Amino acid sequence: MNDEALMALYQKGDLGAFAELVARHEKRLWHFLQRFVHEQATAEDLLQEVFLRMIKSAPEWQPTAKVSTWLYTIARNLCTDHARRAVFRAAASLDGGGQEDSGARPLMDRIPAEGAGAESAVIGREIAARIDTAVAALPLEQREVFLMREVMDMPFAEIAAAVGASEPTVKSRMRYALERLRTALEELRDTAASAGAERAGQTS
Amino acid sequence: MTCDEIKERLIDFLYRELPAQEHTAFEAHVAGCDACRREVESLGGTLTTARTAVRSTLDDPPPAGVRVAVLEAARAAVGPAPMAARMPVKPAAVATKGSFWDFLRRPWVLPSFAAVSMIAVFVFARSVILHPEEARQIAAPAAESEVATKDNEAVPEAKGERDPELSSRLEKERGGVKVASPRPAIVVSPRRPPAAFAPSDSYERLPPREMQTGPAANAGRASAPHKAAAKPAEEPPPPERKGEARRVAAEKPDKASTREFDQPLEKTAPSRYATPPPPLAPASPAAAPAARPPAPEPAMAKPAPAPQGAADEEAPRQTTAKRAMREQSPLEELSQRAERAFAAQRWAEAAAAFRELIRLHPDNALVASWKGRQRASETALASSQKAKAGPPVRASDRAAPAEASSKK
Repeated sequence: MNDEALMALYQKGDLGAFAELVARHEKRLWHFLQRFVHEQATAEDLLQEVFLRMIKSAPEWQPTAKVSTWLYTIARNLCTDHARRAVFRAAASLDGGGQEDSGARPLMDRIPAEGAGAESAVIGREIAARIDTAVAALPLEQREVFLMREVMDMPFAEIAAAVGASEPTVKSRMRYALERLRTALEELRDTAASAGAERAGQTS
Repeated sequence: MTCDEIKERLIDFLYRELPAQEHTAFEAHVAGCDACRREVESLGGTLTTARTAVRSTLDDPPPAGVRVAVLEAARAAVGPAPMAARMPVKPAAVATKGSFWDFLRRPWVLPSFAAVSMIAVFVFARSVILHPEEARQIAAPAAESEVATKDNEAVPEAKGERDPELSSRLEKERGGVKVASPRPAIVVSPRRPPAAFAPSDSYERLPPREMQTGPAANAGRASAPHKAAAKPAEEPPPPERKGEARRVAAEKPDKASTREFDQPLEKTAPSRYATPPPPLAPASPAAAPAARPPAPEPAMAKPAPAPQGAADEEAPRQTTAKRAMREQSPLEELSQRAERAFAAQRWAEAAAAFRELIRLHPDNALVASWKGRQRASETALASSQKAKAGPPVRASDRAAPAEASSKK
């Protein structure tokens, strides 16, 4: 049974259908919110608020609307409201475009392979942590596009509808987000390379 | 395809959303352009790494408390009515699995109980109020049977022996509550028919000690005045109450069943439900023996030695009951005779019997029925007499009236 059928059942009072919808979407919403606000407690509050708004707006939901898009749009609106209210913003907007990395190297040379030993595993965890930090530091417009696409697996057309922008604009924001993340990864790689050189010098 | 076009279509290429023709052109350009190839490889690698990172924890569930709170909110929002309307009700399942409380919650149960209760109250009230003779019939045997099964213990309270020590201790045992309450508690004896109740505080209106007669009572008082009085009083009071109720029923057999509930205490105001009470205790000790038989306490059920006081009391009780039976029988006999005559189409006899019933019992609830039958009998009689006087009729047509008149 698809989301829309479950939602129709819930509109008639079927709590089981609602529980199934929650089970289907709570994980993606949770990780979207976590990575968006980068605060566990705030993400928890926002997750609850998403479903409470869903409950409140359920009578007005039309079967023509896709439930996941509707739900993720609620989450995105909550996040943007929260972000706009936040005093601290991690990074300035990069909507102007990133700088071309003239010294770019082949990708596989830059990203350590997973499972290539303890050091690689540490770097892997560091990469994940760096990605988290970098995502949280993305400008709002880029962050929401990146997370809606990569965490919620929404097509660009739906993202465009959710954020109220054109599809090319959304794709541009996605490219800027990737460039920003790439920069963060390069910085991490440089740090890891210098640390490795230091260890090599100490051993020799 | 130019390098700018490659930059514009980079995301579409990475997400494989380019049309096939553009995809081919894209790959052809990247293959011949190092800068574009590096850019594509770089961003593609970043995308892969970032995707792996953000999706690595996607299976981790959110805090469980969120789901609990959300489901609770949804349950509250849905409310019981839509859920009840949505849930399919299978009558068979409900009948087999429903609990007693589910049964009570069904919409027709309470109105049904209310209707049955109203009918029961009406029937009871009708039998007691409109047919006091039936109540007499019930009350008199009840009193007699109670006398026959009575315990023979000499209960000082029942004999009116209220010594001050016992009274104060009883009050203490009852938590200091004054015994004489405006509306006495009702105590039901397990051996007693439902109509026979007695106020628990009936000893309040028992006659004074001087009224008591009988060797047992005197012996009890003589041997241990205070101990003998106190010891039985520590036991539960039913014997005393039963004795009181029996006396009420015996003295006023026509009112006992309806008024026992509300016998007011001498020291208290009458209940609002009570009809004017019959004088249970004489106004003065001197008038008491003449006004009613002595107290029934000395043990009617104990075979020997049979106290004289009990024997004296038994006789009027039985007499009263038999009198009640005798009073009842003419009505029944007459009624049965009338019904038999009516059924046998002995119109003259039936009309006369019903007329007599109406005359003797004008307040009976069946008067309307009797009148109707009387009229029917008279009508039938008149028509049969007309038939006799008129043109000749067949013998069979006249058979019934003729038979009726001959029997009459």
